[in-house]
Amino acid sequence: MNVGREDILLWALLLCPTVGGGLCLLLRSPRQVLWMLYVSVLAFGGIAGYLGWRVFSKGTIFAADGWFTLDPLSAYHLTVMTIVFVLSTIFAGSYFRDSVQDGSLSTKRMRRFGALWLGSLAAMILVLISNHLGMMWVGIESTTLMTTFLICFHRSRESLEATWKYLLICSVGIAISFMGTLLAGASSGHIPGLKDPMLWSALRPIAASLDPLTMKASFIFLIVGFGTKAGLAPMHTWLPDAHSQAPAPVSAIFSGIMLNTALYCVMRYIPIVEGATGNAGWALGIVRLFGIVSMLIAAAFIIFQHDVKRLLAYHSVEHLGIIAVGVGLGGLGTFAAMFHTLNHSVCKSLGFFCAGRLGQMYETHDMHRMRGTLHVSPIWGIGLLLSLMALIGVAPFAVFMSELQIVKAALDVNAIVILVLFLASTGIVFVGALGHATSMAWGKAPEGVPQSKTKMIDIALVVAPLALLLLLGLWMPEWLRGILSQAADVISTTR
Amino acid sequence: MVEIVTHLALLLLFPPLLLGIIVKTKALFAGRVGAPLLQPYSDLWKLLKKGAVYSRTTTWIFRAGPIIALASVLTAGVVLPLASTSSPFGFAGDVILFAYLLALGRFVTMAAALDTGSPFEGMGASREAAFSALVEPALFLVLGIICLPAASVSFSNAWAALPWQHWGVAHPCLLAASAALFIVLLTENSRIPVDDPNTHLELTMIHEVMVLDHSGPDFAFILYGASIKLFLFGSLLIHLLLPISAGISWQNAALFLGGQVGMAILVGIVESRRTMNLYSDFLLLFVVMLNLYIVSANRLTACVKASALQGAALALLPIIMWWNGSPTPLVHVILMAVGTLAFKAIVIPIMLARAIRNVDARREVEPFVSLHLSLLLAALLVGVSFWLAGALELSAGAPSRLLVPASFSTLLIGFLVLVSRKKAITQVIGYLMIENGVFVFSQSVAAKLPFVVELGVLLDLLVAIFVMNIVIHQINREFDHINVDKLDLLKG
Repeated sequence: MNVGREDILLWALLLCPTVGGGLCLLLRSPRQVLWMLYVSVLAFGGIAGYLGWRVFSKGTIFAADGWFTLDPLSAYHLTVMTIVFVLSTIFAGSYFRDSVQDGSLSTKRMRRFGALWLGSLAAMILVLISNHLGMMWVGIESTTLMTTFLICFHRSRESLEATWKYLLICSVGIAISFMGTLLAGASSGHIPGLKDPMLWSALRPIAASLDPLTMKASFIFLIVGFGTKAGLAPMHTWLPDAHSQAPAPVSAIFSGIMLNTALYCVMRYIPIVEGATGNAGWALGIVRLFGIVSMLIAAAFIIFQHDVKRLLAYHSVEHLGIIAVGVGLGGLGTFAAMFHTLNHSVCKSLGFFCAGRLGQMYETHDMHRMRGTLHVSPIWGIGLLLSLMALIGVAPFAVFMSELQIVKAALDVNAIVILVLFLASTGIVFVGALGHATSMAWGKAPEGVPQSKTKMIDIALVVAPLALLLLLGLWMPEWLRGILSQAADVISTTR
Repeated sequence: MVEIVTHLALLLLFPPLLLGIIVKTKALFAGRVGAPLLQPYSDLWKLLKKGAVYSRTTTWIFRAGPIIALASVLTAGVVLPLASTSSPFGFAGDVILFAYLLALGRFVTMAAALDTGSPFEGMGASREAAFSALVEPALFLVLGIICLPAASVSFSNAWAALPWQHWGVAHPCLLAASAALFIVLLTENSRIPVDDPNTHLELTMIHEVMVLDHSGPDFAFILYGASIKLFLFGSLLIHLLLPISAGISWQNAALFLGGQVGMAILVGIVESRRTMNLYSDFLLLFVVMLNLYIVSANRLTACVKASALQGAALALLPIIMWWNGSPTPLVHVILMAVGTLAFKAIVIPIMLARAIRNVDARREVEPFVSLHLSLLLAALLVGVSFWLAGALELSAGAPSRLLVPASFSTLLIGFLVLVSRKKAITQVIGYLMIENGVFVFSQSVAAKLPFVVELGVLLDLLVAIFVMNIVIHQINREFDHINVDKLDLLKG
C-alpha cells in the first residue's frame, strides 16, 4: 500500500478525535477535559475544512486501498458535521461552566463525557468516510454504542428509561440494516470478476446489472433499519425520549448530525437501488412515503407538547421527514434536501443550546413554567424564539427557502398528494409551535428564577448561527450552490 | 354431542392430509414442487371407484383382512382422546383395548397376506411379525409410563394425571418415552429408516409387500387405515409433548392439529435426511429448534443456556460450510469460528448469567403474550420464513437450502421475543437472536465479506451486549426491578 497524502489526511481525520478521546481519560480536572475537547474538535475541524475544500475543488478522493473515500456527498455532510460539532463543543463549555466552577461535576464523569463525546465524533467520521458498506454499518453501530451513556449523563429514572429505549430500539434497527447490507452484497452474486462487491464505488457503476428483487428486499431492510436511527416515523419512538433526557449539547449533536448520518446511509443506497430497479422511482417512492409519514406524525405530536426539548425532538422527526421527502422527489428536491440538511442542523443545534441553558435556569423543561424567557435571559430567550421561528419556516430564514424549493420540486414532478400533505403538516407545525414559542418568550416569568449573566461567548453562540441562517435565506453564494449541486449529483438518478 | 362430532370428524377426515404433508416435505427438501397436499384424498376416491381383482386361490380371509384392519384402527381411534384429555367413548381399560386393537389389525393384515399363498407375501408377513414383536414391548412400556401417574388404564384418567407441568420434574422419563414413541411410530407406520413405503425393490419391502395383491376399494381401506394409524400414534405423541387441556377449546384444537402437522413434517424431515446436506442442514434445524425452545422457556437461565448453545452451533456453521466447499479461506473460517464461539457461546452468556444473578431475576413472569401462544406464533413464523425465502428466490445461490429460511426464522422469532417479553434480559436475548439470524444469513455471502468487517460486526455485538448489561444494572439499581413494561415515565 503506497501511502499518499490523502491516506494521511483521512487517517488523521479519524485519529484526531480517537486519540483526543483516549487522552481525555487521563486528564486530571474537568477544565482540562474541556480544553482537550476544544483542541481535538478544532483540529478535526481544520482537517475537515481543508478536505472539504479539496473535494469540492478537485474531486473525489480515495484512500486506504479504496476503503475510505470522500466524495461531494460525504464531504458536504462532513462540513455540516464540523459546524455542528464546533458549535456544540463550545456550547458544552458554556453548559457545564457552572457545575465545573462549583465543583459539582466530578472529574471521572467529565472524563467519561469527553471520551464518549470524541468517540461518537470518530464513529460518525467513520460512517462518512467509509467506502465499504460493511464498514459504514460498523460506524453507525458504533455511534449508537458511543452515545448511549451520553444520554444518561444526568442519572435519573427518566434518563435510564430513555437510554434503554434508545439502546434497544436502535440496536435492533441497526441489526436489521445489517441484513439489508448483506442482501445488497448478495445482489451482485451472479456478476463474475467483482473483487469486492460491497465497495460503494464498485457497486455504483454496475447498479443496472444487479439483481432487482434482492436489491428491493435489501432496501426495505435498509430503510427500516437506518430509518430507525434517523428517527423516521413510525420507528422514531426512541427519539423524543432520548433527546429530552440527554444533556443539551448531546441533544444538539443527536439532532444536528447523528440523525443525518443515518439518513446519509440511506441516501448512499438510493442510486444503487434505483439503478438496479430500472430507474423507475421505486426507492424514491419509499423514501418519500417515510418522509411524509414522519412529517404528519411529528405535526400531530408537536401541537400537544409540554416539554420544550421534546418539542424540539419532534421537530427533528419533522425535518428529517422533510429531507427525506426532498430526496424522494429527486431533481431539484435532492438539491433542496441538501440545503435543508445544513439549515436544519444549524438551527436545531441553536434551539437545543437555548433550551438547555434556559432549562438550567428554570430547572424544568415544562413550557407552561418556562415563561418570560426574554426577561429572564435576553440572549438565550431571543435565541430560542428566533430558532423556533426559523424551524417552523418563517421567512426570511434559510429553512423557509429550502422548504420553498422542496415545494417547487413537488410542483415540478406533479406530486400533488405529497404537496398537499407537506403543506398541511408544515402548516399544523407552524400554528402549533408558534403558540409555544410566543408564550414562552413573553409570558410572565415565575418567581425565583435567577437573572443570569451574559458572556461574550454566549452571544457569539446565538448570533453566529442566526446570522448564518439569515444570510443564507437572503442570498445564496454561487460557490455554495455549486457545492450543493455537486453533493446532490452523487445520489440523483435520471428518471 | 359437539364433542362426539368433533372427535369423529377429526378421526375420519384429517389423517390422509398427514400423508400429503409428508410427501410435500420430502419434495421440498429434494427441491421439487411435489404433489398437492390433498393428493391422498384424490387417490382414495379414485381407488374406491374402481373394482377389485381377487385371485382364485384366496379365501374369505383375504377379503376380510383390509376391512377388519380398517375397522380395528377406527375403533382404536374412537377410544383414544384426540383434541382433549378425554374421548367421548372412553372407558376404564381403554388403554388395553387400544393396544390389542392395533395388534388385531396387524394380525389380520398378516393373515390376509399369508392367505394369498405367495411366498413373496409370506416373507413380508414374517418380517412384519418380527418387527412387531420388537415394537410391541416398547409400545406397552410407553403406555405403562403414561398410565403410571394415574394408576389407571383409562386414557382420560391417564392424561388428566399427566399435565404438562410433569415435564419440569420427570423430564428424563418423559423424554425417553417420547423418543421411544417416535421410533415406534416410524416402525408401526413403515416409515424410513425402518421401512420405505415408496420403494420399488421388493426385497427391501416390509409392509408394502404384504399388500401387493390388494386392489381397488380394498387397497383404499389399507391406505386409509395406514394414515389413521399414523394419526393415532401422532396423537399419543402430541399428548405427551404438548399441553393439551381438558375439554374442547380452540387452543386445544390448534395445538393438536399443529402438533399433527409438525409430526408429519418431522417424519418428512427424517425421511429426507439422505437428500439433505447432512451436517449443515441438521445444524440449521437445531438452530431453529433452539429458537422455539427459547420462545417456550420461562426460566431466564434456560434461555441464556439455549442462546449459548445456539452460539456454539453458529460457530460450527462456517467450518461446515467450508467443508462443503465454500470458497472462504481456511484461516478466515477458523478465526471466525473461534471468535463466534468465544463471544456468542462463552463471553456473552457469562455476562448475561452474571446479570441475572446480580439483578436476581429468575423467571419471565406474565409475558405480554402467553408462552403457549408465542410458541404457536413462533411455529407460524418458521412457516412464514420458508415462504419468504421461497418468494425471494434467495436460496438458489446459498450453500444450503435451509440457510435463508433458518436465518429469517431466527430473525423473526428474535423479534417476537423482543416485543412479547417484559424482562430487560429477555429482550437482550431477543436482540441476540436477531443478530444470530443475521449471522446465519451472512454465511451465504461470507466469502465476499472481508474479515475486518466481520470482526467489526462481532466486536460491535459484544460491546452492545456489554453496554446493555451496564444499563440493565443501572436500571435495576435505580428501579429495583428490570421489568421494561414498568418503564413508563416518558410519554407523548
